[in-house]
Amino acid sequence: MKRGDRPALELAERLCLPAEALGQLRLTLVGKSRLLAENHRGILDYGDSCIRLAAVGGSVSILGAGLGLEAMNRRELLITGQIRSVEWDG
Amino acid sequence: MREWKDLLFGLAELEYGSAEPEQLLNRAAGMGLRLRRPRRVDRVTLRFFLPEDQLDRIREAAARGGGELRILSRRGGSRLRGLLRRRIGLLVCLAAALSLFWGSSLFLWDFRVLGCETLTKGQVLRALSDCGVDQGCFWPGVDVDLLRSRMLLKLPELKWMTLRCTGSRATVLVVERGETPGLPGEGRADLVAGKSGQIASLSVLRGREQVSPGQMVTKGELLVSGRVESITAPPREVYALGSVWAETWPELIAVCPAQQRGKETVRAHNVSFALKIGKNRWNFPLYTGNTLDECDTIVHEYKLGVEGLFSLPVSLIREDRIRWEESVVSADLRGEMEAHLKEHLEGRVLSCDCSAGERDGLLFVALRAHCLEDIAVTVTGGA
Repeated sequence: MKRGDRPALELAERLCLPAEALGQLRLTLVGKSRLLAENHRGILDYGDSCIRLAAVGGSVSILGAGLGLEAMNRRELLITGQIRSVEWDG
Repeated sequence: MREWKDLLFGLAELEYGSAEPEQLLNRAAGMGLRLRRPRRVDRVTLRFFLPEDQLDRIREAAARGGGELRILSRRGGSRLRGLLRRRIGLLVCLAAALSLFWGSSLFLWDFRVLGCETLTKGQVLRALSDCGVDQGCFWPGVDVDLLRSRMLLKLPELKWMTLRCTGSRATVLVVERGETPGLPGEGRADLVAGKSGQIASLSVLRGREQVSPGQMVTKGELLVSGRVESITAPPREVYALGSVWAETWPELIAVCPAQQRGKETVRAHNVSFALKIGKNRWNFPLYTGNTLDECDTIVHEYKLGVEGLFSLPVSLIREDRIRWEESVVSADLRGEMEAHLKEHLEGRVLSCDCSAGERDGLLFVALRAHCLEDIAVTVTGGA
């Protein structure tokens, strides 16, 4: 996490603002098969069993089998497949 | 839907090779390109699908990343258009067939009449034809209300009719005027025996019965009187109603020539075909033309279309001509007499006995039946 991120997060909490409003990664997991990532910073690694996303303050690995990118734009991406785990890497 | 769009506008399968192929995904997302089904082949290769119209932009994105982009295959789009261009004749025929089908569905080629009881289908169709609705009629121009008014004037037996058009098929629904149930008349009426017989049961709704079950009655005898007497009031005269079931023994006698001439089918027959388009008919070369006098012609018409859905103005006509010869056959009156008896009987036949004899070339047949029937006949005015 960048040096300026923590005060900004604290301020957001005091103002009752959602963290994603400040660009924090928001993950929505629907069952085991769909994952929607908002506020991503791009794909770092792409494969059938692991997709690694860049995010504010680190990266997130989505692990599973038969993973695929269903849709992607500058802000959001949708991953489908059998998702086993989501790991925060940094 | 997306598959159809891809087929129309074209879809290409691409392979991108680079040290970091994921960067193409990020760059494409930044440019608003949507890569379809991206999959990693190995550490340096990524395969995906993309609409053909976005190829230039993905090439630009790939060039910026320093990778190599290769088109593996194309489907739909320009390839499909090229394929269709080579089959322009086929497409024109298809378009013409579709236009013909659509155009013909605006005209009536097939009529179905429902609801006829006393009127025949032919009478209804002839009246329709007189009103301007015939084969080949442009049905969107038919005003059903006006047609109904004209038809009701033409056929007084009709109470209501409508025309429903489905494609090129017209369904004519008619409702005929039924006889209104008669009300019991006013004044006095008696029930008398229409036939001689033995009373089996009585069911008197109005009037006073004059006979009882088991009693023999002769034709014209009073069964139920319309004069009702009372000990507290003067006699009343009513319209007698009821049914009187009696056992009867009718006898029918018929005479006819013992030998009759009839048709006997000869195996030889020929078949001919003709094509009918609209109201025009073309006979095929093998068509024999004029029918032979001693032939029965059975006409089969096969309409082109889907039964119950639509029909085209094209039909194949097959005519079977079956030759027959005259032959002498023995007369059989028993069946006809039984049918005649049942047709004129208001009840049922319990048993039937028939005897026949031949004299001077004539056949004499006597039919004696044992029946149970309603013999009551209304006689107005009273005795």
